[in-house]
Amino acid sequence: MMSMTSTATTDELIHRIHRDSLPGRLIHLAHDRSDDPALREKRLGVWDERTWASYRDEVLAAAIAMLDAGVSHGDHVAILSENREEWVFAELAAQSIGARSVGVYPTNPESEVAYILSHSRSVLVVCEDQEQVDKVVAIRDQTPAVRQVTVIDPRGTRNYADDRLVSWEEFVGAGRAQLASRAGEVLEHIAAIDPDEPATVVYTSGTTGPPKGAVLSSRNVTAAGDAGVEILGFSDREELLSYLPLCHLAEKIFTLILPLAAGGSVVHFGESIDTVAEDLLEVSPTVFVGVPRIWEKMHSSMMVRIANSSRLKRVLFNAGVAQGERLATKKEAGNGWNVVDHFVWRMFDLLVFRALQERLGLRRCWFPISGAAPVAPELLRWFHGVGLPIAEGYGQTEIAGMSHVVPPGEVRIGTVGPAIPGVECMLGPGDEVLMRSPQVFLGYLFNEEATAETIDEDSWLHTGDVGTIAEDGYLSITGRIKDIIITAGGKNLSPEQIENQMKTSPYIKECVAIGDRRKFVSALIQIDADNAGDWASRKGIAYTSFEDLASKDEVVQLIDAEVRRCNGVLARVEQVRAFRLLPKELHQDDEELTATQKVRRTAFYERYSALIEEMY
Amino acid sequence: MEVPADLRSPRRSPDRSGEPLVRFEDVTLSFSGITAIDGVSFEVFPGELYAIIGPNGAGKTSTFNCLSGVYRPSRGRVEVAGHDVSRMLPHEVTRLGVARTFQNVELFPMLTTLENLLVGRHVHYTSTWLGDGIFRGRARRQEVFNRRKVEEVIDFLDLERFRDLPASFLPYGVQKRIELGRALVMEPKLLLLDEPAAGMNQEETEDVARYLLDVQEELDITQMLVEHDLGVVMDLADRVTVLDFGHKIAEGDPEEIQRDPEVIRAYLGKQAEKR
Repeated sequence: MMSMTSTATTDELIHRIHRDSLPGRLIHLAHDRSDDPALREKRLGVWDERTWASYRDEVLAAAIAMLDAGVSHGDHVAILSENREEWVFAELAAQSIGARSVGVYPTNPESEVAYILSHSRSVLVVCEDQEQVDKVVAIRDQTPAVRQVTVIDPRGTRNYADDRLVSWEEFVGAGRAQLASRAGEVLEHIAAIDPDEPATVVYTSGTTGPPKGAVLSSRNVTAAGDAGVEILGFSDREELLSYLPLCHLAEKIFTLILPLAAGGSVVHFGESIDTVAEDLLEVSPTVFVGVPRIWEKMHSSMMVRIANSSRLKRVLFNAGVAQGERLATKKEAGNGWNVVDHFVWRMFDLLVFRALQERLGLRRCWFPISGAAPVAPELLRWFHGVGLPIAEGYGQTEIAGMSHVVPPGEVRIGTVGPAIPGVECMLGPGDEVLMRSPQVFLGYLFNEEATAETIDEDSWLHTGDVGTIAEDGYLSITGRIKDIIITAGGKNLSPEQIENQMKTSPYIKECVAIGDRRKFVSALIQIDADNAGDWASRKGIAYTSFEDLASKDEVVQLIDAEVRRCNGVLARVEQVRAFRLLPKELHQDDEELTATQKVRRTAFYERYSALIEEMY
Repeated sequence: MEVPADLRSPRRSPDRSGEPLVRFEDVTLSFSGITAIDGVSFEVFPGELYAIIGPNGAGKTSTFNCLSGVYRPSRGRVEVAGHDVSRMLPHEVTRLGVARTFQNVELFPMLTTLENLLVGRHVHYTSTWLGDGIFRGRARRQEVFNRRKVEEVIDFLDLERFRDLPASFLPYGVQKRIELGRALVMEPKLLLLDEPAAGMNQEETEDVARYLLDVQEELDITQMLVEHDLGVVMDLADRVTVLDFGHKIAEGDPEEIQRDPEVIRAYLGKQAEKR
């Protein structure tokens, strides 16, 4: 691969490049740590390594190709792919030349892809494979601005007649060939980046209404990175696995923003979305971000494995978790451990926790973090009890993804920690969480009305979340303003808290609490097909399909027992008094879930109104 | 996902002006009085996806068995890549570059996906047992090379997540895919597929069709398939031969076959009657 010539002129150029944009940071990093590993991607069963210099060269080559394709300052470049190197190359290349990256969920159906491409007026689309190309080709008429479509894996598309298609290899290859002569040109573009101009657009998949494109500047994201590095103690030698969708800021922070802010780290891209568990074992990351679904899944898969193991193992495991939870609670309350406590912890660490952490691929992980949605405190206690002190973080797309996080070692379960450096936080009317910071976004793309509703005259961001702030600044989120349930008795309840409590059961995958203007709280529950199926098999209950399984009396009784157990932790008014099992699994394609797998409440209530009414 | 027809050019039709890869000349196969194949002739050209269809007992699988050296035809000539295979043994035919998959999955149940595929590379091993024991030089290079070839197929067929799982633990559709993979790692010139979509649901069938088109487009391997599922054949094949009671009753592209009155009577008609 061609490398940039480090002549006096390039040195002078690099000097003029500021560190207040992601491409600027990449150029400096590649200059200072050129031969250190930056990325690893598993290809053909082997982890291929890429240095910072090579990372930069691919970004520059892609930027040259984009210039040649007529992408100019202020244009939008859409990316439809699962996580892989080319994703970050495309994003940073677009930002390098003053264009804006727009991530689209690869799971989005055609109609949603059409909405985002046409709304953002994207001129170039980077597609992962045939599956994504088919969507883009099919919506050609609705997206007249799209001039070129590049395909990373062109398999199956070679005979397509759409003249906008070009393979990524050919596209970037043309840029690589000109690297020696034109790298300077791209560097000039990077030096000219205005940190307060838009750099990326992140579409938020609202649970109501069409998605809105949050426009973030270079300063927004670099400020978030710097604050994150400071509060977390994120070093320049971390190892990470990039696996959550890169169109969401949670993963962007860990894949792009933090490593570039910290001055290094190695980001791994696994084989596919289906191999995350295996990739996790091989990478054993030092920092790992999970969303509640991931933690729930890890927890339930461990519980099922333990249930199927020998009696001795079960006894040891249960004793270990019980002791672990006790000790974690003691530490959290600020009480020190005595000699016996240390001994007990060490013993169970050797006997139970170590093996469990290794099996999850988290033995080396010093900072497990949970974000993107609230997670049930019981689940967090369990993880703390097995030596994985998950910290919750909080942030919205509109504030560059991270505004609060529980610092390592200062965990308080049920809170999302103090505001990170540079973020002011207070409660507004109705206890709405308000924030002000250089991280607050520029506004919604082509939607001034929504922008004005979100950022007030004094630059406070209105989050729409309800919370409480403790004396020491630790924030707790109780729910969304619009989702709050007001019962017939006049009590204000947060459905999320009830739902998360229910979801601590390994047999409950999804739960939607209902109770607005009703006499009591009820719930529609989707069983976890794997775990409930496994349970049914062990009991010798035969079933054919999901619907069949969900209609078995035994399964209904199982869930009933689980609901009663979970009710035990809830206040009286919050307790679920009636429930029904959903006959099918909720799915994004049926417009029941958003791309981040959150329930679209409005659509959900409409579709299942008959089931709901049955309970009252 | 539906793609508007006008944006996908018609599939490139394989060139049929050169030498055929397979030549079946007036082949008759009979076992003690029963004639399984009766005077059947056809030619398959390089790069083609060629289908043989027909009701049960029409002689489809027997045709494959003649091609792969399992049966010796009583009369006629079977040529693959210019060699007469009618007097060859199956493993000799394999060396000519003929690979096949079976109607029922024939994998090693307790071997992993990876190991099952490595077995498929056996035909390309040239090192001695002594060399393998020492595992230096050529033996080692070969092992690395073979593993790479297998990994390419794992990538091609999206088998990553099943790499280290025993075949018998896997769903039927995946097992069929592994079997296809085992044929592909042999880097064949000709791939014989015996009912690749048998017993599959709609989604799995679509996946198989996708992979077979990719094999044609990306790997340029000539494929012959015997299939019951007419939908699969009509969407995939460049040309189709129809057999009925050992006789060839029609040959042509899928559109022609669908219109052929003889075929409708013998094949589609019977299917309709059965239902």
